[in-house]
Amino acid sequence: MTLNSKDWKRLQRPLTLLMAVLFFIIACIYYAYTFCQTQLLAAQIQQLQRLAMRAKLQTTEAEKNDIDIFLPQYKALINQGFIGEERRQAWVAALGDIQKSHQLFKINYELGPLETVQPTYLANFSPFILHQSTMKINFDLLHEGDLLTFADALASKNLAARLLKSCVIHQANQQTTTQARLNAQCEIDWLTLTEPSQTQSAITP
Amino acid sequence: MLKNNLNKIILCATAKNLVAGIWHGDQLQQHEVFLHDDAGQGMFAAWLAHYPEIPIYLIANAVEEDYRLESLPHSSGREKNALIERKLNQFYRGLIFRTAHFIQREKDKRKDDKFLFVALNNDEFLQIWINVIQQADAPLVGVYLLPMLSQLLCKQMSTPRKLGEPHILLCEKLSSGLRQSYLHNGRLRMSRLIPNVPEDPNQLGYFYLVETQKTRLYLMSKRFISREVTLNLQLVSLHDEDMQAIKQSFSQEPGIACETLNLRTITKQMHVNPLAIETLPELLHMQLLANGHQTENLAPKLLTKTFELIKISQWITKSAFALGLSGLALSSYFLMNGFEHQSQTQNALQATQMIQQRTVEATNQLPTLPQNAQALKTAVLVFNKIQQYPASPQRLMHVVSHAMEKSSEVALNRLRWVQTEDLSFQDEDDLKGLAANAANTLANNLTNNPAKATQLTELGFISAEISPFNGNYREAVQKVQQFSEQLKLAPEVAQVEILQTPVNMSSYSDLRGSTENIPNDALAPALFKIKLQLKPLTPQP
Repeated sequence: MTLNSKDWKRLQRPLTLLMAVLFFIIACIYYAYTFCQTQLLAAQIQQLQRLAMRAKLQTTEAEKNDIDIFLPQYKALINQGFIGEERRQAWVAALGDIQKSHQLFKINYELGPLETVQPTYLANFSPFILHQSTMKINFDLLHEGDLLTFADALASKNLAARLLKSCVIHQANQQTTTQARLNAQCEIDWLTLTEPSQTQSAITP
Repeated sequence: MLKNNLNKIILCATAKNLVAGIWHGDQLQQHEVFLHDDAGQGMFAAWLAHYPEIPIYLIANAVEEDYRLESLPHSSGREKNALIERKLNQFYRGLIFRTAHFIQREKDKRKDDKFLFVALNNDEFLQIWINVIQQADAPLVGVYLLPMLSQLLCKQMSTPRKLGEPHILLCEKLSSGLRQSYLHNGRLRMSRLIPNVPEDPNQLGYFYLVETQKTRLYLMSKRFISREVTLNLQLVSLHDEDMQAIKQSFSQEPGIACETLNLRTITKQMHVNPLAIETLPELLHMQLLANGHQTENLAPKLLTKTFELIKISQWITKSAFALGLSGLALSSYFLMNGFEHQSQTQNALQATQMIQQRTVEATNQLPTLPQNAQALKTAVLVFNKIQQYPASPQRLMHVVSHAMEKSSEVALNRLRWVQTEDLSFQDEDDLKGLAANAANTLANNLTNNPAKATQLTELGFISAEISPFNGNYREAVQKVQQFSEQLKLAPEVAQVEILQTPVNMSSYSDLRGSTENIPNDALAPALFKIKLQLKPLTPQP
């Protein structure tokens, strides 16, 4: 069928309508699709924010839980002298107390200077700084049990963390005036933690 | 436009007049009769102007009709159309209104297609109405021959038994005359219109008889029937009593069996007013078209172009609406999803705000701390970790004591207990004749395991001698071995290594002595040294 200008004129209205509808629909679909995608993105972002906020809440609750659990222990450690300045006087006094209370022979000690250490057997102690003072002690033993008595007594003292690193037991010098049969030489590491910011006074022990 | 889709204008043109009816659906709304003169044409044009864009179906009821039965080789598609067009040009060159009506496929070997070619030999009576339609730019759907609709009417009215008759001659009394249509096996083969029907009812019987005989002779001449064939003459009428006289006139006629077909039943079925049919019987044929029955169109495409354009226009409009609806549906879908996402965003926002409120409350409840909670935890865990390590050499002393009870000849000179992360740690005690190859064996074995370096391990160094020693080094070495085995039996012990034996048999060191008997007090002591490693107290985290 061949169409002339009159025929095209007859088709003009429906074709115009079709084009108008087409443009209108494309515009509608574009707007609706864009709206949908925008809202979807907004929903996803809001969901992520909700998840992030929930994670933050959980972290806060976990932090509160940790504080409830660990704050009393932390305060106790400050009292004990593990956290803060080292208390050499108390350590030396403890040695004297042990000697007297357990009727041990004289205990000779030699306390080295404070050092900052990073031992591999303590994996992570950040943000604190770990300090160590090595004490060498030398004392005679009536028998091997005296060493264990000394070690147990030292462990029972509420002092800073200490680590008995080494002990050597050997025959005592025959020329000694005491009844000692054995001699013990031990090394004790006195360990203390210091906070990077010295604000521990905020917590009243 | 949607309303117009339900409307139809159906015309029936004869040489005398034009019957025009307008239908809404299958209901006849009104009808008019326009005479075949200038006034009639003007009135028709004026009438038509009231119904623009309504499709027009035109029925031609003329005397000058031509019917030719022809077989064509079986074909389809373009080939079939080309064959038909060629045949039409051959039969009816110069005629405008013509068509081919498929009858059936023949059952002989070639199985040709049998067509009835029909045409209007004289279309002058029709052309004037078509001119009016074209001037009004009205959509002409097609031009149809009335007898082809009569064939449909016969099918609708006849019982299966009657329709099964092979030779039917359908007689219809129309406003334009008597129409006799011959149907072979229910399919139209020819038809003729006899105008000038006598008005006197007494002459009708004779008139019918004469015209039927003429038709019969024509059919025989065209070899549609033979002399022996009995024609089943079917008289169509609203009133059986009117046809009785006519039927009586055929009672003595051989080769013709006359029956009547009452139109009352079909007029009820087709919702046609019988009174209208009585004056204008053509309305029944027009009603058939209004009901949607289709038959072959005789009009060329040029005449139906307006209708085709309107159809295209309607199709475009419908497509636009469908497209619009689909687009709106799709847009609605996206919008609904968008609003759903918006609702989810609002819900998530509210939930976030609630959680934020709880977080703020929880944060406000936190005490002021010098360190954060993690630091508190770290300090406590570090302290606990240190406390996990043994506070005394009790385990080593227990192991050594237990082993010495089993080995009475072993005299302990020195015992060293060390807690170290350095598994290659060596005792600094100066030992004579320390086996060079044995010194680092244990350490090397242990340092190959890097996991051990992150914890403190208890190491013991036992310096002892075999006492009393009678100079029998073989026996002394054996006793050292036995002592070593005793140590290994302890569950706390992980590994035992003999660092020095009473006699150094290493190939890499000097070996001096004498085969003479040496007094006991002059014998060197059978010193030995053992390194042992204890298992950890508790599994390390």
